[in-house]
Amino acid sequence: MDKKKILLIEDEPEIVRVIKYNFERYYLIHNVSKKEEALDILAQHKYDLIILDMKLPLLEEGVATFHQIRKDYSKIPILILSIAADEPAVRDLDADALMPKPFEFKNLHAKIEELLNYTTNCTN
Amino acid sequence: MELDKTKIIKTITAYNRHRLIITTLALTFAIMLSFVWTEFPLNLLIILMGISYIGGIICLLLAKIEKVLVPLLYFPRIFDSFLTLGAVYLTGGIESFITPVFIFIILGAGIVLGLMTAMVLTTLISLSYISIILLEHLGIIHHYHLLPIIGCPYDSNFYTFWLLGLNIFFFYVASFISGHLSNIIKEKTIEINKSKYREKYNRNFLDSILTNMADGLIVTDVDLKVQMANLASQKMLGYTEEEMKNKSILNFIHDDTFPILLQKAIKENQLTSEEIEIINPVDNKKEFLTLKMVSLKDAFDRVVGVIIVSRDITHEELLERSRANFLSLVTHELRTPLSSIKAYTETLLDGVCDPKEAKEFLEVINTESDALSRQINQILMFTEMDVKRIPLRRKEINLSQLISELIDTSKTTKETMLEKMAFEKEIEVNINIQENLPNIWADYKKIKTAIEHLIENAIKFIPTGEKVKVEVLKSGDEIKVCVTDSGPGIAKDKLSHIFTPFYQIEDPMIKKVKGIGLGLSLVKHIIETHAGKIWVESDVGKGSSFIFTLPIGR
Repeated sequence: MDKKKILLIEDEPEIVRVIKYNFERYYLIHNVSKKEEALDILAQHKYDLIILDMKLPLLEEGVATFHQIRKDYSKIPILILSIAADEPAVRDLDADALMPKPFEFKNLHAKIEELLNYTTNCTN
Repeated sequence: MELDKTKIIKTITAYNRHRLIITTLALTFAIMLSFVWTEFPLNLLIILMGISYIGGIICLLLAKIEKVLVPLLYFPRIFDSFLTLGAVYLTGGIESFITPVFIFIILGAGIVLGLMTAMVLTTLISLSYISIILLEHLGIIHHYHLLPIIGCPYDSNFYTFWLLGLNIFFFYVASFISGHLSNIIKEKTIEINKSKYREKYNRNFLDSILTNMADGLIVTDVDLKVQMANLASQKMLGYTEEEMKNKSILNFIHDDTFPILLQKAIKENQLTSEEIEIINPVDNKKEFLTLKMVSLKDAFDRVVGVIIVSRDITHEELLERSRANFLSLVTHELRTPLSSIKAYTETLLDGVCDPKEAKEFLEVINTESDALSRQINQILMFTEMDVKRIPLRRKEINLSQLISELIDTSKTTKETMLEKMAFEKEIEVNINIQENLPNIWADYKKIKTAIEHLIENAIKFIPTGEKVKVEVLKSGDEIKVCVTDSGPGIAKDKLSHIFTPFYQIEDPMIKKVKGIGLGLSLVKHIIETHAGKIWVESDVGKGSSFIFTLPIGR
């Protein structure tokens, strides 16, 4: 079976590296650090899941990115990974899953699996 | 008693002026009379008038050369008694019909000059009267009958003295009545003036309180039409009193609960209050106000309007919000390095096969822990300086030594954070310190933090392979420290925000760097608490210079 494709929108290289290190054996992970790049790559490739990072001083930008992707690619589930998961602006988004940072890989993996299986079941 | 010299001079001058007019008129009349009546002693009259007038001038001169005494005021009156003496003598003593005229003179004097002066004048007139009669009776002077009252005999001694006594009695009665009347009038006038003054004072008093108070005060009638609005309220609402006058206050304060609370104040007589948020139409800025509303009552306890007191709490509100924001930002930002630490630790615990990779992961954890520790230190120092205001621990500082502790370019080993950072990014750091630099009197730890942060910032924000220059020199009474980089520079519109807490430049040219954006505001804080100045000079594409000055000596 082909690996599921995940788009990781995250600009912290250390986090990207460690996520890739842990999950590359299960998924195909593409990383972009900016909204524009994300929209470009989404237009070219089909993804099964989007992991979106949101940080505080740029929360509005993150929220805008979320809405843009939600609008254009409503079928792709979005997992928000954020240090500001407890902020109302983030909490109130209708993201498919919310993962606060710092996170545990075990939990993140479970969330990813849950989202991927759900979409798989739906499409089947 | 303190003498008011100008007042005395003024009184005497006025008195002399009147005397001049009266004397001239009397003299003209006497001269005309002397043509008809050859026996008329014109020379005597001229002498008497002369004495009186010269006396007045002497008084004036004495007053002017400042040998002033209060009795001097009465001197012209003493000289005037000579004039009275002459007039009484010429008109024919008690049987003259000129006698009642004296009553009018006294009445006039009493009203114009007051009780005291009228009494003095009356006494003088009476004395001169008595002395004339006595002199005539003793045969020393001749009796004239210039203006006799028909049927009034002069010969009877008893009658003469009885008439004299009666005359003098009337003089005093006239003097007392007029003087008293005058005093009452004067008191009333003073009272009226006083109450006018008091009223004006009260108005000014209220006006200045209303104008200068920091709280806004608006008075409306029961229909909520603005009757009065003080300066503070005009500023808060952004309308002038003229613009608001006789218009409903609801046109100027838009808030859902405000009309309800106003009605409550009017109908239920309650003191109501609320916090509102408005946009000031003058600068379109958001304002936070607390409003207190209370009914205004008239003398019969009827509600005639509402008093609205407003207080601008924008500053407090924003401060409160920025504090809350600060806390939220700080706690969230600490999670960034913590996330990396946690992720890498977990990965390592799960087992990493490649030892090289494992070491790299450990290095990430190490770097992120350092970052976390620095952030915590910054926050601590920031709150320490901003909130607790802990005094500086000053000592003599040799800047050359301080900088060499931070970064030593002569060494080959890379020990300090700055040395490591520069080495990793292949950045050449040039340090140029003027020789024989005087020591400064400052807080060692804080100045070190400030300089470290400026150099760290320069290394962080410029691309690999660029250069950083640190210059320290004496400039007048100050030490000037410049940290210059050859990086991308900062756009003009961003320069003004650069020292604002949590501000980080969002620029595609600048690689995203870690940090919570507290550093530069902390540096500014440190330099300013040392009575120094800090600024930044930058041009896009040409690099940036962070420059600060510190005073030399204690």
